[in-house]
Amino acid sequence: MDVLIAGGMVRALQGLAAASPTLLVGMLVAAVLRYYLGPQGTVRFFGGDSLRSLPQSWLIGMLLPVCSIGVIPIIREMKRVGIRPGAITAFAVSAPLFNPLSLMYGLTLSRPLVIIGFALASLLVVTAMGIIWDRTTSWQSGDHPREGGPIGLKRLGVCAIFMSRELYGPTGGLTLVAIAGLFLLGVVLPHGALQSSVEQLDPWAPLKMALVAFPIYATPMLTMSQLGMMFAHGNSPGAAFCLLLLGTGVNLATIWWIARSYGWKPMAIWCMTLFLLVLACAYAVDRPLIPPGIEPAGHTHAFDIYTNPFQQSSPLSFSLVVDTTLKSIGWADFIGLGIAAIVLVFGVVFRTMVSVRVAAFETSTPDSSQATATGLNRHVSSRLVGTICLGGLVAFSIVSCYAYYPAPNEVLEEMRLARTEVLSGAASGDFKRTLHWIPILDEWSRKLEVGHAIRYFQLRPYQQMQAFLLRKKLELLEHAVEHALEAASKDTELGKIQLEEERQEIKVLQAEISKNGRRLIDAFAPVK
Amino acid sequence: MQRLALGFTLGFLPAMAGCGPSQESLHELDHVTPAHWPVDMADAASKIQERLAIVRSDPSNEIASEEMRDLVDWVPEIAADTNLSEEQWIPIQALSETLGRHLMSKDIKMSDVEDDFLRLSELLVAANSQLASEGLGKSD
Repeated sequence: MDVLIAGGMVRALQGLAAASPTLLVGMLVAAVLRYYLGPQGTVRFFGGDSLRSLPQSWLIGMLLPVCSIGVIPIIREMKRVGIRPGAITAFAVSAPLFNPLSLMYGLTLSRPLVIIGFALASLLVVTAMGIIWDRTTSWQSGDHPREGGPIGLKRLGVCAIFMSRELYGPTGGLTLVAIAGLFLLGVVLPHGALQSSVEQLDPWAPLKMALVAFPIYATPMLTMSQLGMMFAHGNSPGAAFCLLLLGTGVNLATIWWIARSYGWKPMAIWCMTLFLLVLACAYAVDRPLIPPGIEPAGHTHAFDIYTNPFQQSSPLSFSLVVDTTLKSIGWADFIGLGIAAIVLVFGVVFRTMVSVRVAAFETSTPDSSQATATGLNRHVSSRLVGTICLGGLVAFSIVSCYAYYPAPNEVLEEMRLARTEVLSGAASGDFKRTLHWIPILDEWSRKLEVGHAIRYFQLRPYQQMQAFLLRKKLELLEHAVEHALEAASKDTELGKIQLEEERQEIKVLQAEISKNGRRLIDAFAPVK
Repeated sequence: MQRLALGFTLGFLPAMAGCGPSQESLHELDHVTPAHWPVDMADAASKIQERLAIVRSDPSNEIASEEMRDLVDWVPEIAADTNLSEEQWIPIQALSETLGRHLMSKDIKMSDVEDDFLRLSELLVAANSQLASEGLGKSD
């Protein structure tokens, strides 16, 4: 099996799995906009036809838990009802950047000022871009489809049909275009590329990142962790900003859709405007946002997820490819994939085998313009139902923060189990087990901070420092273990000496991580 | 035009990514520990005093000034990586943070905050002694 193709496929499959939960959310939001808010309600929801729609769309994007793929069905619906292109852009670029979950995560990774600054800079970019780009399209104010649409219980069925036909349809196709960007990067970028490309004080770093970022697809959570890694390793803040807006905010599908919807020339103007605005902001923040006291590490692992996971010289096997693919797919992604698969199957059925029956079902659904209230069957305004649906989604994403970031006592227990695996693997020489559990323990340490912060509305410097120390030692341990494995593979006298040196280093780190564990328990003891 | 754009992107991406052959050895990506990184609190105090003496005699010594800024930033981490309790750690962290803010301000000279440096050094020595007397010792 070719390493390049296998690497590309692995990255594409990982991206598809990561996208599935927020893609489903995006299709649900689009269905609510279409069948509950209706055209006028949707236009009002995004701020009407005035310039206010730009910052308002940005704000709605910040609240909805969608990624740059999940945003696709929503912007298709926004275009259908005639919302101004600048507002569509503002929403399309901002929605994937932050949501309540990723914002919580980001506030514990980087300095809060940085995250807030990036969010406000994104508002500046999308507003300026929206104003410029509106002039290049042929959009006319007030050009909205007529009101009316299905009503009653059958409306739920119509929504489900819509979602499944979208997935086996335009949205599904655009999803594959977006994922093709990850495949391309996985093929073109060899293992370890980009690790030293975005160093602090490198004047080319923001530009390099801007040029590579367009094909990237990343979920908001992944981007937050990457931003944190970049700041922790003293990489270029300007490059981090380019990654956020151009990597997370946009993907190949966004560009393709804009070209198909508005034309190739407006698309080119759109890309160039976004590129230049983001680059200008990136260079403006590059020096001021350099974190004090952080020694530049000279490299970062933040972008390893986009490069080929296999070394050129690695012997490939089907089981290795499967293991590598599954390594980064979490339980939420598996559930999302499962549900998306079911929705896709229904999409195939609705578009092929039973398309006539589906059309008949849709036309038989009572229309809101004709329905009359009889008995208990009352006409509730679609605006009210739609607002409740969308408000509920935002509320759900806030509530889900508490599920995703458990209480500190639960997290500490999970950390105890993960730490045991890390340390016992290191002690017994089962280094692959250690390497498997290190990222898990790292992730739990971040959840510990967020879980504490959202429950007690504070995070003391001592708590942050102990969590930081754990992650630092885990990274050193990871390096030491990788060096040990490399030395063990050499089978030379020098290799044996290096292996022994690494074992000593590993032993020291084991003790330090163990002591840090006790300090973490004390630091995060319940607040009295 | 579209094929040209795609070809350009495919050719340009690897160049801009700075990629070429993937790295030979994992050692190329080791974190380099600065030479003035303190091994413990006592060492941090000693290093601060050494550099303070250098800056006293030669206020224009940029290297010593820069290293003192680094030491001030690192001290909370060094102190937290011991068995100091949170209550014992807070004064060290607070003073380091205050010093760090002063040093970021361009209109403050090292000599203006010399007392703060000495105070920080004393705190570190005292904390280290306390740990030693309690038999808890440093983390390593």
